[in-house]
Amino acid sequence: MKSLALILFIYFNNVLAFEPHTANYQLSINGINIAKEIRTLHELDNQYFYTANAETSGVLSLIKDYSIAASSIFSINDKGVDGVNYQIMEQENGKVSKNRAIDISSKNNTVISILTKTQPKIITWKAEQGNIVDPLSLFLAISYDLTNKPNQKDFYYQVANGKSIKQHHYQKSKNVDIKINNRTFKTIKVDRMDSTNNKSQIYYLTEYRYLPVIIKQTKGSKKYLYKIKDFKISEVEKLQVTF
Amino acid sequence: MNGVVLISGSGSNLQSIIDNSDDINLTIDCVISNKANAYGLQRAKQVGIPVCTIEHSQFPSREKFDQELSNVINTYNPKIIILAGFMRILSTEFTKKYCGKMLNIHPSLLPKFQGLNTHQRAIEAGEKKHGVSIHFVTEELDGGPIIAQSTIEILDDDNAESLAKRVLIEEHKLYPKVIHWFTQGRLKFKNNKAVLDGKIL
Repeated sequence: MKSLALILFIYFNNVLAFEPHTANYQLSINGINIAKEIRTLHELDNQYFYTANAETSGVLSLIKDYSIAASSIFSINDKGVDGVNYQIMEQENGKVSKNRAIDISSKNNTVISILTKTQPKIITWKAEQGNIVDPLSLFLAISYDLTNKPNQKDFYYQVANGKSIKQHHYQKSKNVDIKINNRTFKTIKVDRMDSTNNKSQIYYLTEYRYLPVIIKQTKGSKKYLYKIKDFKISEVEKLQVTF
Repeated sequence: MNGVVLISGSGSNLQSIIDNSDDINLTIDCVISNKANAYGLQRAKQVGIPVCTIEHSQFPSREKFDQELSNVINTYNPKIIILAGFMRILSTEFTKKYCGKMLNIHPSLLPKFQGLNTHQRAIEAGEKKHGVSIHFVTEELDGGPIIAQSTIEILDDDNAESLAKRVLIEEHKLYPKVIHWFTQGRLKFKNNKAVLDGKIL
């Protein structure tokens, strides 16, 4: 189904900060479709488990067997999303080429690396007071704040990625109607404000708890575009949407 | 050989180990859980195995929890430590202490799908095959050498639940077999590699 085709019925449980879901994105770099990425969010024991799995698709997959899997465990406190653990693993031709993992503790203001084959030293980073997120949970931290702090325009996050901890500043800019497969959807555009080398623009669907539908990132000369293809709430009978 | 089993949940793998313990020369000295409501504790109690709960949420850091866990384990001086659905990442210090005698079972074909929710992720990633891996636990998250894997096909109509059930059957067959290799002295950990009957796996 290429257009918004099916809404069985919409059900959001107000108890949960997020609704467990699966979302499929198409990743392109400099306009060329590179990979399909699946992001899933699950709830377990008062924590959330968010994963992103991408692997090369189309013609590129014939040339290079490459996949990247990231996972984030986080909880929610009175300040918003708070990271617990993050891991990112890249595989080329079935072999792990990069594996970074960290434990995050905002209570202790620390981020500690976990030993892996490609991360042979334990490193402890000292963070500032406040919540800490990772590059994956960051997207949902913004979703959460858009939902729960509707009058706030500027959002600040400490982002730990296994190499460093950096402060990010995002700003809610404007409502934008965007077209996906010839259908128009209302979104809120959020811009990263504090980096010239790493520009980010994220478009959040104003429905469905501000699900990120388009993510644009510029890193040097590379322009990354994640565009949502479809998503579903975990229990299919609750809600399924195809773009 | 005496050992301890660490669990966090229902303990179905624990049950298969208990059921096979006589045949695989294993005496389970204690079942330790990081969750008080883990049903696996009931399974152990039913057959008279001592149990212990160490709630991870009661400790301020991973290291403090691991220290207490280590204290409890050491009272039994186990020759093998079996992780059977123990849902905690262990600290480097802890894993160093027990390197070479700690086994873990993971419901995926490692290195694919480390972490949680492996069945759903395998389906969503369009994998054709899935399964279970048993490995030695080392200080590196991904460094523990794989001892054995069992592979099953992912069917077109599989969902996470149906796939988990079929993988679980393989888990229950494979884990006692690998533990038996260890209790027989056939399986060893040498130079960061799993060695069975003198051959590197």
